[in-house]
Amino acid sequence: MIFDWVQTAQGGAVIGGGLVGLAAALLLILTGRSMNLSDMLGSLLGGNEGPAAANIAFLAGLVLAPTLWQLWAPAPAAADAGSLTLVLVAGLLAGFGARLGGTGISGQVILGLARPSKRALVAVVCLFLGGALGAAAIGWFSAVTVPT
Amino acid sequence: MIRLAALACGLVCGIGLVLSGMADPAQVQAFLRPGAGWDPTFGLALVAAVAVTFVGVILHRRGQPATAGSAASTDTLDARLIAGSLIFGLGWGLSGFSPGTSLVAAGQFVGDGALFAAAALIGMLLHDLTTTRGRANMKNLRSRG
Repeated sequence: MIFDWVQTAQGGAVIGGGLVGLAAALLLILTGRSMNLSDMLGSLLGGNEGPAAANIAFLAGLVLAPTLWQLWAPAPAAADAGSLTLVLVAGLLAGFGARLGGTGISGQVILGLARPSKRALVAVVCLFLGGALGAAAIGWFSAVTVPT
Repeated sequence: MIRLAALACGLVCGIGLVLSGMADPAQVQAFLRPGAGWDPTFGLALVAAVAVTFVGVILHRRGQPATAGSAASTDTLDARLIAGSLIFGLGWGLSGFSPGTSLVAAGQFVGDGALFAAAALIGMLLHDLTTTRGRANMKNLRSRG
């Protein structure tokens, strides 16, 4: 049954990923906007991304989605995992990089590869390179600092 | 109307991010970290997202008049894109969050998600304050009122 398959990690990944793609496609067709979430967050500071109201509406949808889900079914458990300092530093880096390069996961990896552009391909390689470095550094970081 | 459409798309996107596990930092890091214990699930979700978006892009293009030059203007490479993506990626790998997924996590009442989103906003502000380009942008905004 498809419902059993959706409950596996792989099934959920395919259907959930498909929904993310559906959101990007619908936003493009209905509003003509690119689903670049980092840009949308940045537009809260004021930016060149047109009227901010639509961005705020989209971001509100992102934040409210887990609550909407809870109305029908128990949502997957989510909990704090990282150290506060680490999350803070990571957020600063991601925000700075997003603004510097006009880059982001949804904008470059999902929309960028679907379009596709040479610019997005380069961005994707750099994003994953940085990501692999960061994720590898965590193993090293936790090995030396957190002996709990 | 556009706001309502954007809100609906945000909800669909958020539900997709939770269902796919893309909003789960541990799953993202398990994909990004090479070696033993590598988990391809996040990659699978990305492929599905790109495939559906691709269909949307084609449908969207069909309804648009062909615009000459638009492809060229979005296809330029520069150092800022490369440096920005590397720095962004580093933060992404260190935490397993991106600005979008951190908002979904914040919606799940995960403190890390809210903290990451706030830090990302501060990082963006730092960029605008410290780079000439960012300062010019801010000045431009202020003069526009």
